[in-house]
Amino acid sequence: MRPSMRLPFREALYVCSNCRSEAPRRISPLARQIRHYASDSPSVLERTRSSLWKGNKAPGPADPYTGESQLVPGAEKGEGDLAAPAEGEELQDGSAYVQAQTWDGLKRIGHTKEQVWKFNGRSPVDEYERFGADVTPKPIPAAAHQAAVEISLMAMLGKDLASVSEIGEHYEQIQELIDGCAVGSSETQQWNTGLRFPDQQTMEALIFVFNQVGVQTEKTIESPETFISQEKTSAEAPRDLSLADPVVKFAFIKRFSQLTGRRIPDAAITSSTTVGEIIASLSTALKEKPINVSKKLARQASVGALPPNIQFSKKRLSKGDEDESLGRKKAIYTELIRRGLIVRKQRGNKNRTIEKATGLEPEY
Amino acid sequence: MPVKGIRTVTAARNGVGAFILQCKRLDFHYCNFGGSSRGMLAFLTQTLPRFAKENPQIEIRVSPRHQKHPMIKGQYINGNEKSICVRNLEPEDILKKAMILKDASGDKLKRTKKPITSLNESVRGIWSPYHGDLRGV
Amino acid sequence: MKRLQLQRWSSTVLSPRARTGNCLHQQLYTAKLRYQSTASSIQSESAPYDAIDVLEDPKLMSQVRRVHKHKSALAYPSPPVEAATRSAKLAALHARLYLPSRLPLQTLARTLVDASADENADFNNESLATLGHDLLTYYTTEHLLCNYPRLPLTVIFAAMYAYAGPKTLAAMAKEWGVEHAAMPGGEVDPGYLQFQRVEPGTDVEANSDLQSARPYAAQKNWRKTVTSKIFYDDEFGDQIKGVVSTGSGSGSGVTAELASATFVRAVMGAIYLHAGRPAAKRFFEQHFLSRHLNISELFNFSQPARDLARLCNRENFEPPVAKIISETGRKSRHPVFVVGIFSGQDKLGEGAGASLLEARERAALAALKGWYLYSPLNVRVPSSMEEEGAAPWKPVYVDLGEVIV
Repeated sequence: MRPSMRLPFREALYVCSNCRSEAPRRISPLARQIRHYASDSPSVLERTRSSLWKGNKAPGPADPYTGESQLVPGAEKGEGDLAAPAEGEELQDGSAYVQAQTWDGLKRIGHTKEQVWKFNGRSPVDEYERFGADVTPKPIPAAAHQAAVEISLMAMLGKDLASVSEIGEHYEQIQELIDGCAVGSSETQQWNTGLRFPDQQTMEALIFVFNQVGVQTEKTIESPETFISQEKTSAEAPRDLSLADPVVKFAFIKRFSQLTGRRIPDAAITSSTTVGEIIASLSTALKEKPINVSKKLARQASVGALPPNIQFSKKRLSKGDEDESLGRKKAIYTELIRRGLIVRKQRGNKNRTIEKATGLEPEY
Repeated sequence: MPVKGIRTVTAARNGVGAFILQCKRLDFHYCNFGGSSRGMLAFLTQTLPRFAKENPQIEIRVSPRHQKHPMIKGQYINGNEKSICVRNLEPEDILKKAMILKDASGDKLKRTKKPITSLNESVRGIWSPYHGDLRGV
Repeated sequence: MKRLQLQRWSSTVLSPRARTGNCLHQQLYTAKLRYQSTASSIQSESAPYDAIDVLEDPKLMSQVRRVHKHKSALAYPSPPVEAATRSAKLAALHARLYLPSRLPLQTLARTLVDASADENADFNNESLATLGHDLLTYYTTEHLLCNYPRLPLTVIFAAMYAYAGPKTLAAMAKEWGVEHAAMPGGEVDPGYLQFQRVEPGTDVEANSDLQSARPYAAQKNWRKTVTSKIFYDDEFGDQIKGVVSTGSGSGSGVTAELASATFVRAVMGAIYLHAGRPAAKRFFEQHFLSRHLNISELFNFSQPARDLARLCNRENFEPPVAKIISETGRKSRHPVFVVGIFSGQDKLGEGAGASLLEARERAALAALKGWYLYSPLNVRVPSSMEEEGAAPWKPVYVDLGEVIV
């Protein structure tokens, strides 16, 4: 809505904050017209009042609201304000003023977008690291097991489950401890009671470690811990672990994706309700990588399985390669350099040289 | 000097003594990523070593040409070049194309009207009207 | 008592040219000549490598080197030895020529380096070519002499040229699929024939210095007898040009034809060295003798009737008489006469022509060719005695030679 259409803001004694911010930018055509042509004539309200009363003798005092607007000072003399001090400065600093001959040392006003980084430099905010970059990808079963153990631990400690992902890679000793644990599948719904430790020491160590993660809590573990029996040490997460709880599901998938280094498809996330289903969705083979012919041939050549009349190259054979094998490349380049068609450039203090053909490439 | 010698050059008869295969080079071009090179990639890694071993007199060059269809080019002793595009072909079909290039002479294809050409004179000689039984009119 | 002028009659015997016509003696002889003339000899190692003189500028050289793949090899005038096993082109050439497996790729690579590309005699093909040239000439000569014992010497020269002349050898190298490198150098694929090319516009004939032992060799207008050509000239009856003028000398190159011929000879020599005599002979038969040459087309008679009369006189035949066998249209625009030449009752030759004279010439020509092109059956060449278990040698037919008019 344009407030100025209803009431020219010059006339209005009260302008709301929205209109005030809008007003200088969007001056209505009507207001502009009024400002332009009717500066000497009575204001709109005055004229309206006189027309209402049919004559110049309107009863009562003049409209107390008519007059200079108090609330938007400087709205009309904004441009004048800018120009005035500049003139004043010029007059004041006239003695010290030296006209610049070049633009060196002048204050730089404005810059293009590309130059922003040049002036400001790179800030730490600009650094980007992809999610999971600090973790070496693990095989799927191991990752699932580790994620299950860690989330069970966090659930045991009653902490925010998703904060597990703040941990990058564990130290080797802790990793061994985690690998030694198992998640029981008997009570599939309870993540906070399903964890089984190999022994008391491990439990204490892990609880200590995971207590450091996220917000510190002083929750004591009073639930009776069950330790795993000796014969059952399979380091694999039970497939029927439930992911019904969205919080658990989010935390598990986040951690699992981080550990495997693979993106889990949305369809798999929404459709799966257990850990097993997530694993199954990932177990489809990745897209087959194309055969690298030169690598394969190189391997065969190193064994001696290639006859001597095969020659292969990693890169496309260019005219320059043919020139070199024919021996005329040296002559071509000698002549190009001599004629100044190839310029040697020194760049920076790294002593790196680039060759750049300023002219056309040699025609063959 | 009663008789002078006329200098000439002996003419080659390929195959009378040694036989020189006319295809001297085969260039195999492929793309590592293009789908039309799928068969070519399999051919190069599996069939080509055997093909090269069977034809040691051909220089074989394998080089990639990205974003292009796979191609076999043959260079011949007479200086000509023949090329066959082998896009979307299976390895065994590519082998057939390579054999076509290998067996070609490098000349343009032309219709052979007479089955035999020879540098030697005719054994029977040319018929002469002045010899043999002359008949009076 | 008057002293015998030993030098005069023994000069032909003592002269290296007259004793052997082989390439090795030519080289030794010419090398000595060059030494005397203070020119650099073949073996001189001080001669600078100036394939491209601009490459001597170190700054430019370093820039040029940077764009090359084989940077280290760029310093050598010819490809390093270990590059030979890496070259597919060389392996293919080896197989294409059916070379014996005992001939290594490295030697084949060496045969492709001309003396003008690499002056070091340990790396160029000059020594191999010398050996190969002599073998080639020997095998060709014995084949021609044994198969056509009555050929005139000029025709033998022409036939030698046709079988083993530089033009033929260059054509063979082309038919073998040997390509020429544009410039010699270490980075070049060893499968290319490498030689320093002649500058455009150079007169090839002019700068070849004569190395003949012939007295008054510089007198080009003087008549040279056929017999003297046997003594003084090369196997094709040409004056011996400086063999070494191909290799040394700053900036001088060789023609592609000469370089190709040297390569083919070097292959022959390399086979002989590595695989032995039988393999070399087999290679000669398969690649050289198998080529087609119609010797009857090499004759160029000036006066066949006179030659035939002399021949009959020498051989104690009755003098040849030309008789008309048949004729047609004597008074027409296109008369044809068939004339036979008879020696007594024997018809020596027959020819048809548009005039009586032409017919007689043709008949004499046919008679002479019939005589000269005599070829005995089941010929054995002397080198066949080198084989294991060869049958005892039976002398081959030796003719008196051509008619001397």
